[in-house]
Amino acid sequence: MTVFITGGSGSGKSAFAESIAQKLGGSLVYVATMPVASGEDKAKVERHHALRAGKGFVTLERPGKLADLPDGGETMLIECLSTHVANLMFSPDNAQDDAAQNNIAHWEELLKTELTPLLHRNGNTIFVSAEIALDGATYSPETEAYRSVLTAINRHLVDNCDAAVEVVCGIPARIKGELPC
Amino acid sequence: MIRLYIGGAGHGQAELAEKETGKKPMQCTPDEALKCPAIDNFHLVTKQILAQEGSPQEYARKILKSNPDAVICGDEIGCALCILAEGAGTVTRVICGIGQRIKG
Repeated sequence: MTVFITGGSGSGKSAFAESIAQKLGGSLVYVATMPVASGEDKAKVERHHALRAGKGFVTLERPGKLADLPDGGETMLIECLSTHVANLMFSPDNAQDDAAQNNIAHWEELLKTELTPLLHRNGNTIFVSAEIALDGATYSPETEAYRSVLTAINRHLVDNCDAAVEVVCGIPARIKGELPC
Repeated sequence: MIRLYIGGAGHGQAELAEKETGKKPMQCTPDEALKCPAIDNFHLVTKQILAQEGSPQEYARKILKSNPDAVICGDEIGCALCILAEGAGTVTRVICGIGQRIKG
């Protein structure tokens, strides 16, 4: 089964995603996309480690690239795509000129190619993303490009996952499909 | 009957509206929106009204009267949307391309 989970910052997506992973069962793998670059990052990672403690997850750190992931029937939770997209678009390793940086179609294609095998792997896959487009504000061209890419990828995953849910104040609001009880 | 599609930026309001109504939402000036069959980015129209020191709420009432069969798409930013939603026949919240009918 493939599940997509979105919601605002601090809405309870992680805890909800972990509970879904546990309900789906099997060997549990947590794929962390966040590179640890500062004290704030470290604190966030530690908070998430504490949240997962005792729940049976094996953690794989994959900042920057969703590669070399297991495909043997495990239940895999990937968190968070908002970080992954930012890593990809703004990493010094992927430095682009302005026109290429804001080429939304280029990033979309790259990400869809990367995510497609994960939509068809053996075992359950849970994607956690984030809602970042509800503030009505307009940002710099780079940030607008990032928001366009992430929302497009979110739509793509909702379209291709079996179930999708928005977490609001810790409460799941169904978008499509049925989640395990 | 007004059909309103709202949601976060980039969630696919215009695409879903076109699919469901057969009308392609267009970017309009405030004057054009009074008669356009399908309006895109309504929040930008209200932004223009605000820039002209007009009232988005009064403008929304004007739209309800002058363009009663419009399809209206926009980002969910409040402002005059409650007035439009009150007068609309259907209101659809779009999230990641999926429509959730919240009225009608």
